[in-house]
Amino acid sequence: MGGTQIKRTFYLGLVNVVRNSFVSFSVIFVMTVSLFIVGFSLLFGQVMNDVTEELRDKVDVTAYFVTDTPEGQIFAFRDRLEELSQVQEVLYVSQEIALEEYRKRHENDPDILHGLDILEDNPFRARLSIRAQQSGDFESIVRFLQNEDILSDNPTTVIDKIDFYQNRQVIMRLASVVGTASLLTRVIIALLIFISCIIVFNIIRLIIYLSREEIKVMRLIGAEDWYIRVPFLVSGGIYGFVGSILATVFLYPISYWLSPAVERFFEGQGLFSYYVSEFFMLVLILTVLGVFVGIFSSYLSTQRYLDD
Amino acid sequence: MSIVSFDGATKYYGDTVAAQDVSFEIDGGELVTLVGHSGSGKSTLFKLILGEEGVYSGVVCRGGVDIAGMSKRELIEHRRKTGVIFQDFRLLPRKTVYENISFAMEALGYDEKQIENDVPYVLDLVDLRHKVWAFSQELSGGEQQRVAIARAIVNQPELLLADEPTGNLDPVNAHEVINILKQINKLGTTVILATHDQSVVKKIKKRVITLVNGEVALDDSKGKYIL
Repeated sequence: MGGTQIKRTFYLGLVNVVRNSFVSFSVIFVMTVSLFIVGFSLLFGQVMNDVTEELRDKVDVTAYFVTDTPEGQIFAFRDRLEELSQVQEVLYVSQEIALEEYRKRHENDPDILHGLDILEDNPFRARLSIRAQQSGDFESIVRFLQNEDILSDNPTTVIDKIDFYQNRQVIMRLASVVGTASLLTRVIIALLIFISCIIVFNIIRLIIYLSREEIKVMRLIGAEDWYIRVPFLVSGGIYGFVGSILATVFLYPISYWLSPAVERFFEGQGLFSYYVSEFFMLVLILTVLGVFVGIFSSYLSTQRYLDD
Repeated sequence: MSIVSFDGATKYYGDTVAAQDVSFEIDGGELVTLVGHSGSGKSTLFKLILGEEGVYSGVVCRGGVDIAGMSKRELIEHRRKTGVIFQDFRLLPRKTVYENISFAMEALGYDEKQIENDVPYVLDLVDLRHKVWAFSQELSGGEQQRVAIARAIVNQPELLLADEPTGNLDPVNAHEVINILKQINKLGTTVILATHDQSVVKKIKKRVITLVNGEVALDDSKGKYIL
């Protein structure tokens, strides 16, 4: 295939799109709607991801230490915990910081603050907040915490309370809901992408069906398969490209409009902030997907008319 | 050597006989008319020559080569050396007259200069130079058929198949088309013309092969036929 021939086939593809304007408009419309759904799903999926991440972060096991446990002993315990493969992060909160946090939380409640002032000692205990790698790891972390005599240099009890048992049911249920929601979001996105591809494929197939006589004539005059096929591939690619650009453009007002509601509902970032921060990635994904689906659908649709 | 030959070619569409034991040879430079009623098998013979359909039995050859045994590349080459004119013109609707003709050359890889030379030349032959930028839907039936002829001859084929080229035309346009085909034949191209129109056969006065129910009923070099 020479340069002139390549130029000709690309030109033919472009001319097909322009001259066949009503059909092109229909395909681009379907392509835009499909890619819009995909783009919206991706943005919404990002919101869901962050919500699940945030929920996951809120799930932890907290070990409260007996009041006079020396800090060095707590640090040693923390180091041992951090070595566990199931542990993602261990956060130490001293008695003083716990008190400070409490004061800050109730700074508008003079009765509580007054009550604290009356007390001579700090009533709060030092604690370690432990985050697991996965929700299923909590059990083994709790078993570790119960086995306090692993601290060989101090066999006495230092852990006063483990609040995992108190919150266990809620934590486990939450972990399960979070996992399911995340999985469901991914499945829905995959399904929407699949359905969009099928719709686009069928409309392109229909268009090429309408051009079957043209293909037949081209074959009868002795045109090679690639010469017949490439203009259709080019047209398919153009449909995908224009559709992806339009879908990205339409996502702007829609995500902006829906953003406050999403923010309120999920108490996190809205759709629009993801649209802005992930703009180039979004354009890239939609363009690659649109162009690929357009070209691939055209390839498959022309095949049946080129087979002998 | 004959340019096209049929040797006992038989073709069925389901239980219907489209061609039955057809045998004849056409030499280079001939102008042959296939005559017969609708359904007599004229178009089927063209499809067999173009390799659009395969024979049930027998052999159809182009230049001594069995068409059914041709590779894809050989078939493409064979089609490139064969011009086709259809009764329903089969022009590409979204292309201009110029593009309908030039695309046949582009598909075969001719360079722009040659295309710019040859397209006006064939448009002159069919007297359509003034319609060069018109779209095919904007032309009359006769004009469309002349564009189809121009497309078929622009690559200077050795063989030209004209399937009922006057079928959709009024007598004046039909007469013009026949004259163009005779002129093309005079320039050395072998022309096979299929028709059911007796006036066309009478005008040509060359070899006529009469088909009846898919069989060759008469093959007469002086233009006799049975209808």
